Amino acid sequence: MLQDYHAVLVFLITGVAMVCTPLILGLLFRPKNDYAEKTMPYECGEDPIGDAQIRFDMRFYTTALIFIIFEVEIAFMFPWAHVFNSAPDKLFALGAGLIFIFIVFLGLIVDWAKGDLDWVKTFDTNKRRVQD
Amino acid sequence: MNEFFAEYPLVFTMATTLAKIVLFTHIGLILAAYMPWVERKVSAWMQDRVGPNRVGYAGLGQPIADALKFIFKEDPVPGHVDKVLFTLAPALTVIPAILVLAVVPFAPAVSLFGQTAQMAIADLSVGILFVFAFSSLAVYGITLAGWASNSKYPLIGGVRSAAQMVSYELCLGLSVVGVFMAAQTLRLTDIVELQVDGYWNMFTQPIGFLVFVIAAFAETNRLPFDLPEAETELVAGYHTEYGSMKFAMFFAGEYMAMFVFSCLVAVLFMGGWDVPFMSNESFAALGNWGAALGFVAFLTKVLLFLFFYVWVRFTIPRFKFDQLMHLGWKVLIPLSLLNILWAGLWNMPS
Repeated sequence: MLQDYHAVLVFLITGVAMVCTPLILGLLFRPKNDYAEKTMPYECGEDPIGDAQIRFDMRFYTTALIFIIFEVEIAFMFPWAHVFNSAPDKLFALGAGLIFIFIVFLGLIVDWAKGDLDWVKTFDTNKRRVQD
Repeated sequence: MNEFFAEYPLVFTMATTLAKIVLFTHIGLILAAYMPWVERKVSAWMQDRVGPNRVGYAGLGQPIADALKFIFKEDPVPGHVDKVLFTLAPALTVIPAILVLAVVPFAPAVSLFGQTAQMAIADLSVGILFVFAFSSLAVYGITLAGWASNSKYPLIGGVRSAAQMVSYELCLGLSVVGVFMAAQTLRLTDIVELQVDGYWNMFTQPIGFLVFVIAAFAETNRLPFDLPEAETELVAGYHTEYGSMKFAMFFAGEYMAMFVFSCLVAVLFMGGWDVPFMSNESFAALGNWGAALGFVAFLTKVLLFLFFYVWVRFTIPRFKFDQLMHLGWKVLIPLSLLNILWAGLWNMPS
């Protein structure tokens, strides 16, 4: 059992070696000729203004939050799927699973209705919109 | 030999494991190196051009020439970057992609010297969990590359990539739940053996197959989902500041991930090493020739799917970011939940 994971460990070492070898090999051969203009961040020739490690869009945070919740739900679904076919009463097993999935899906619907899944946020424009 | 290995089975296991690691990593690396050549040739063929034809016969020496160039080119590191993360990020995209290969079964079990060897480097009982654990690590590489570069285009590419990959990770996870419901196991070898002489999962679960394929495209950042790179708007996205070997690492990581996901599609949905009209018994009857036949069949499926990757790239234009999120959350997740219902009803005793 544990033997299989030894193989994974050996493979991991192989993988790391495969990545490090070309990086180190290049380090020995390649020229190094840095000057101030060359080490500037690339912005299509413009001088960059300010730091780039800034606070970015809030919508990425919401997406990550919803992701974590759903990922945990999927982790709960794997054991159920694993034993599903050997359940004594499959109809009951499917029903139980579907109730769980329905509750998960309800969460998705709530997010959907609240507009958390919309990337382009729309506001209630009816008050401002000219009748077209 | 037979008596020796019967007495020391551990020596046999170690020897075969090392042989498998050498063999399978070479298959992966050679395919990853030649995929850019294939891609350029196929795109040239589709657009009525000639494609690479200078280095060697039909440009076949191109990958070697590129690799040499990557080694000898200067590697300018911008002054504003976070040096540690900047160097770590390329490695973090390649290593997980390679590691997933550990659980992919390439062929039926081979018998040598009276012992049997599974044709996966590590035939883990939690195979698919291993796949998800490591393939999701790839998001760190890309996001860290975007953040560590400390430049505006990479930052946008990096956060976009994080949002895209986590969104499609959900569809990927949900679409294989149906496969486990049918197979009752997470071991990839068993999943293939159940499809041999039965139905391939792509026929019994067409919705799951569709969702998995779309999510595989998004997870590998390939067109039509290459928003993290999007060269028309973000220069080169998350790897704008990278040059030389570090850039080559991102490149290799992307093609390695394509190879790995092609393997997974073949294993989970297209019957792995199965050849139509062959049963597990007829594979066993052929002995090691059956394993060789299965290996060829498996590679054929993988290569066909890699061709499909290239085909799609030159057929479908890129999505906008809001369309991408819409497709992921509002179309694919409900569809993959529907697939679970479908799989449940399909496996009902009639």
